[in-house]
Amino acid sequence: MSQYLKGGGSVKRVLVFASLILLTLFPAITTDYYVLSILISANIFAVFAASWDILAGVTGQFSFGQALFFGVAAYMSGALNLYLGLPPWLTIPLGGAFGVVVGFLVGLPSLRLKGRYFTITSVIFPTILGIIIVEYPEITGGETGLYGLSPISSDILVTYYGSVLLMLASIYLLVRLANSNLGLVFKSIREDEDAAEATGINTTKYKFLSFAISGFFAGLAGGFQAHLLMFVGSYVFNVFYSLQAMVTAALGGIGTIIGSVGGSYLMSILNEILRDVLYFRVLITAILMLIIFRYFPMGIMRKIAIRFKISIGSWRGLEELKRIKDGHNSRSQRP
Amino acid sequence: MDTILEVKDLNKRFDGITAVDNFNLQIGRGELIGLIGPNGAGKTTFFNLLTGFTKPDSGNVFLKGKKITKLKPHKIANLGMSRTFQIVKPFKRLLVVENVAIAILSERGKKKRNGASVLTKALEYLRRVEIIPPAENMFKLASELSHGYSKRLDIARALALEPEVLLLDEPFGGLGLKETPIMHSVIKKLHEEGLTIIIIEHKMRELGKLAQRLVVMNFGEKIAEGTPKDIAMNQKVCEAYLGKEVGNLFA
Amino acid sequence: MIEQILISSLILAGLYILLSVGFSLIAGVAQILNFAHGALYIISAYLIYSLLPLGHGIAIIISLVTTPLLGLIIYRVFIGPLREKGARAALVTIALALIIQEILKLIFGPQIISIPNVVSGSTTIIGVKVTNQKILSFVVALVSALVLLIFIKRTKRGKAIQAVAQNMDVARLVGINIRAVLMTSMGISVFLAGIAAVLFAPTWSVTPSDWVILFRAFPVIILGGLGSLKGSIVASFILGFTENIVIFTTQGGNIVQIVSFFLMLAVIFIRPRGLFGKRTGAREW
Repeated sequence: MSQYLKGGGSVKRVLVFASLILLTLFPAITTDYYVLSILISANIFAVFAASWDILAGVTGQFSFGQALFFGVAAYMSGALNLYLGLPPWLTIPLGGAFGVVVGFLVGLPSLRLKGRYFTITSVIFPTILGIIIVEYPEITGGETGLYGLSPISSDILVTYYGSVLLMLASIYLLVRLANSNLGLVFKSIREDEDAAEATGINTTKYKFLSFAISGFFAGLAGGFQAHLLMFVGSYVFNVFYSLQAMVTAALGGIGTIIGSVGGSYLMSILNEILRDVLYFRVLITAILMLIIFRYFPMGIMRKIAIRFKISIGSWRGLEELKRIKDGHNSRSQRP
Repeated sequence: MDTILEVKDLNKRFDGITAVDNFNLQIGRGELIGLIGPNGAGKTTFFNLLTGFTKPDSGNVFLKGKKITKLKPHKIANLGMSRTFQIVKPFKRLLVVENVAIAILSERGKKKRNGASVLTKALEYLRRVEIIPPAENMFKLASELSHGYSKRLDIARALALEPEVLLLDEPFGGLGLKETPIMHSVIKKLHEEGLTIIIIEHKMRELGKLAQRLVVMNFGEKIAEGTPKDIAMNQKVCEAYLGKEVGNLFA
Repeated sequence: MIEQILISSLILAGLYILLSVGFSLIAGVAQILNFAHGALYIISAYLIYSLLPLGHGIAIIISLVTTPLLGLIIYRVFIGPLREKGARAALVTIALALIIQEILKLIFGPQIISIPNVVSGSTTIIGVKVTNQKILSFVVALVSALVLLIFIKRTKRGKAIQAVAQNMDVARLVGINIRAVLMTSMGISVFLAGIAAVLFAPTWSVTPSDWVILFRAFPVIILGGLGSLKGSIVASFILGFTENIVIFTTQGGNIVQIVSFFLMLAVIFIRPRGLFGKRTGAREW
């Protein structure tokens, strides 16, 4: 962690570049519908997981209700599409907007409750919404959900690239955010909220902001998913769905943002391997979750990063230090 | 006296125990005040009341004439009064520079930056509390610092808010023979630069050398106030600190 | 009608008492949110179910002994070491709950199972016909809670538990055996879940996914104050009554959860620490 200055910059650049190439050119390898849909789902889930990561991993707000942002946005996107005929390229950003609103609402209890107490309440949020969905089937479609939503595109390739765009843009923005001054403030709240307050940080404002941002990206993911499946159902409000986002983020490394991408792809592979034993899917995911949180909270990506001495998630303000350091080094090398 | 901080009739009870009892205090700009008293006298609670971490039951606090009594901690920090904690509260997983940078990213920090980069300013404060040199301290996580540096990091962070009033809660706590004089000189320098400082401390000797005026608390009440010499001779104070003979308080 | 509401409220309060007190106890002492608490309730029920061939009484006894043991093992291996790391511990307990759910699903299938009543027949109280099982449930629940309360407040061991709940470090310094206190608390907590299964599972049948019944107790816990046993008991009655009034005056059963949820939100904003909770639950500034 404090070895960040030692380098690894070039390794990182190579990795990022290689991944970008792979993502963009993947359809050249295969345009198989099934394979592409897995990747599309992985991309969406990466955004979903990253949205939780910025809230919990970076800002320290361990909300268990991430599914709420995703689900409400999915339903709203679906409803706007179904009842008002709005096209996906409108409903998805609007889904993001609804995510922001829900983010604010979920953020409110955090103002009055400390850590653990907030966690308890956040668990119930999605459950309650699931109940509301079932109780008012006229608008929400009840148990069966909303069917017949417009697809993203009739061409799977377009959908694929759409998901890649969504994922790259979201992850890029979130990583930039996490490494920015704002991100540093978020991290200070995570480390010690009281100390942050004493240091002049309006923790209330910034916590709200983190909830809003988290809700926005989760909302985008939700909207996209709704139109991908052309269907929204109460499954989104299951506790398990929130948990999947958390495991994904943790698998990659909580707080790294980029870990959510790796985690999501890993989870997709895992799900595919387990496809034939669908029966065991939840069990294995839960066991995975248990192992990760109990024994490897750092996550896989972070372990790799430390091994290769790559820095993930460092504050961009530190770049100046490198310049100073290099300046010192070159000076001390002069005769 | 140009009063910079005024406390009027401050009261706070916790579940039947009176932590702060009808406290009154006036502090002039540029003074260095020591707040002493036996354990449990209410000193840290007093700091919490001043800085907005605890709400008083009654009474008021005025900073530069402005009432700050029920304001949130970050507001008070941004108005020019900052503090350290009895048990250090660093941002553990952030780097030392990042810890200080947070203060510079606050409202007040932004105002006082004057175009300099956040990092440059952060290094400046780290220099002032003598955390750098050695340069390697910059790259350490806050949790990796030894106790002496840790204590000064707390101060650097509070300092980075460019406060007019600085509250130090037991800055000498746990410091050894080598670190104590460093802390002493850091605080002395800050005072000479014009900062108004209130120090809660148990290490009487250090306080005796630094403080112009001492305020003594016991059971939430102010039981004495005066120069270190006066306090050392004060019967009530010596009784509060069991076993100390008059005149031996600073031995 | 009022009599019906009264009786139903008391029964529901009984269930809430057993669930919330168990959860609150370990939350206060070990600073851990044990989401698997509901899962242990379910396990207990399934244990009884599968041991029925040995006789009802024997099944109950084995279950009441095994479930706490299981809980302690789970605690020792998975939860205990994460004691002060709140979020991680909570996530681990949820994972455990899901694992238990899935394993039970694989063994027994997802359908409802029912276990027999401890006592059969019914009595008529104040004009309402109540099954004896339900009466027993309420009585045992209340008595257990009160016994626990007396234990905590009056006995030496109980006071040690209080000390650890208030400040673990100081308790350790004073010489209290933290490990023993934690184990005892966990054991009691799970035992309560086990009793809950014996009493209430016959009335409200059980599926592997029902560990989420714990969530229904959260409004109770928040209202009473996390970590406060007295609070859990009082809040159980309050919510027991409120929910039943809602159930009887509206048509749906699920609306009640929504109402309780908003009640919980109201508590959070008006008095975050609940009725009897410690101040540290809410932000002090």
